[in-house]
Amino acid sequence: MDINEKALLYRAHAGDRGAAGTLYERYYRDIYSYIFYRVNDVATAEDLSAEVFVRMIRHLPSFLAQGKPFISWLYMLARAVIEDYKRNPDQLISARDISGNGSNGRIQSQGRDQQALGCFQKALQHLSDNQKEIIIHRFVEGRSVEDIADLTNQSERAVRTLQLNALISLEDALMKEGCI
Amino acid sequence: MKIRFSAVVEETLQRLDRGENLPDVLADYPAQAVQLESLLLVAMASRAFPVPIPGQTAQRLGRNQMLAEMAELEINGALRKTPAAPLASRWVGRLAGALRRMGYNKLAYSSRLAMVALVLILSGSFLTLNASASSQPGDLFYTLKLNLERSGLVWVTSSEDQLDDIFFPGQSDLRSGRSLEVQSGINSMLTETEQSSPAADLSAPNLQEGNAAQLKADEKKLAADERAAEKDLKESEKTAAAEKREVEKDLKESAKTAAAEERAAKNDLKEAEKEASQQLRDAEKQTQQPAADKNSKNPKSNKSAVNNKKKAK
Repeated sequence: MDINEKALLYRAHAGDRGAAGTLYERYYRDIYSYIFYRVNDVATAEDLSAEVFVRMIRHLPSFLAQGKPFISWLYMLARAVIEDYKRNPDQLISARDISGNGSNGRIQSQGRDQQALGCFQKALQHLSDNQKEIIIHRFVEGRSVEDIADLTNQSERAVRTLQLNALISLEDALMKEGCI
Repeated sequence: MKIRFSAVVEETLQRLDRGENLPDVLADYPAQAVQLESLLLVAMASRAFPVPIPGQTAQRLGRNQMLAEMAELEINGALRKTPAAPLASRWVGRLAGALRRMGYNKLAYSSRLAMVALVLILSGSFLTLNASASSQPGDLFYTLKLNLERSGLVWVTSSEDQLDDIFFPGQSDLRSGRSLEVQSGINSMLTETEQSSPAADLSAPNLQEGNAAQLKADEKKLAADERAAEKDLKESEKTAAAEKREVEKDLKESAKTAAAEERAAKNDLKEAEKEASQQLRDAEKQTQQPAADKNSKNPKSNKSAVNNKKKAK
């Protein structure tokens, strides 16, 4: 964690809305993308992403006491939010429902790509949570094995093995869905 | 086997990232080429999927939700309770607050940097001085320590010097005398400088040059005084050692003389005892001579023999 990020976190903890806003802008896309591919729905991904940042503010004191890397802590919160959503989907308060506005999130793809994306998303749902996570971090977000090892608190060797299993499972899933 | 294959997959992925062609990469792994090819194609297809873009409205709403949570926590007093910022950050904050109260509301970035640099330099110097104070010969800071002590900027208070004071009390006096001399030298030079500076008739550049020259001369004089004091110190140490040696020599000689005298007295005593025993034996012989006639003829001789015996005793 760099010193600017640490300063932002302490300022946010002290009630500085600007600092909290900066952290939100910096990490929202990563978290949204991760959740989108995990839940396979734009609106739910938006709601869950907002929930992640609400929890971030709520649990900031305990995080500052731990001293872990901030991004890996955010992903941990995102995993917890997804788990909670899977257990009880109705409990999640939707910002969309409160405001009455619909989602305008989108995927930058057209025509055939849109079809391929749909196929990929469906195939992804056949994978285990760990396998989904590795495919998203490694191939969608384009992170290195070292970064993923840091994010998921695993060894690089374990990440490589998980990556191989995830690719084999994804290949099978794509064949099942008739994508390849 | 699986571990090795996972490493191969990762290596080939990295090569593809670097821009190598799939056939070239696969050519290096002919035994695993078939399995590898299908996996790499899946990986490449996954990479082609776009990162979704969140809706602006949802993003704004999410942000508002977060800020609302923040406000609620603030009202409940949950924010800023624990943990406190690190000590250094708190001090920087206090300093900034003090400056704000003094009216320096908008310090330029360069000024802040300069302040931080100043604090760092001061604390660094202080730490270096502290580290050099306990350094030993051969240590990194020992030269610094010596130079500081020589320049008189630092008072020597190390345990080493306290031990010196215990074992060589004379030296500490000399050292304090030296520092007094140096101090008095400085004082006298200052007075001389004050007296010799004709402030009224000198222009500013001349005055500065004169001061610089005077300062150099003072420094030289100080260095000479210091050298002389060190020389005195060494000489006095030598003299003290020589005196100590002489005293020890005298002590040894007197001990030898006393032992010789004792031996002579013992010899005299033995000789006296021998003489006395000889005389006793003579007297006994005289008394044992055929007695009767002698006793009758010469009662005086008998008496004298008795007297001799008494004497011998």
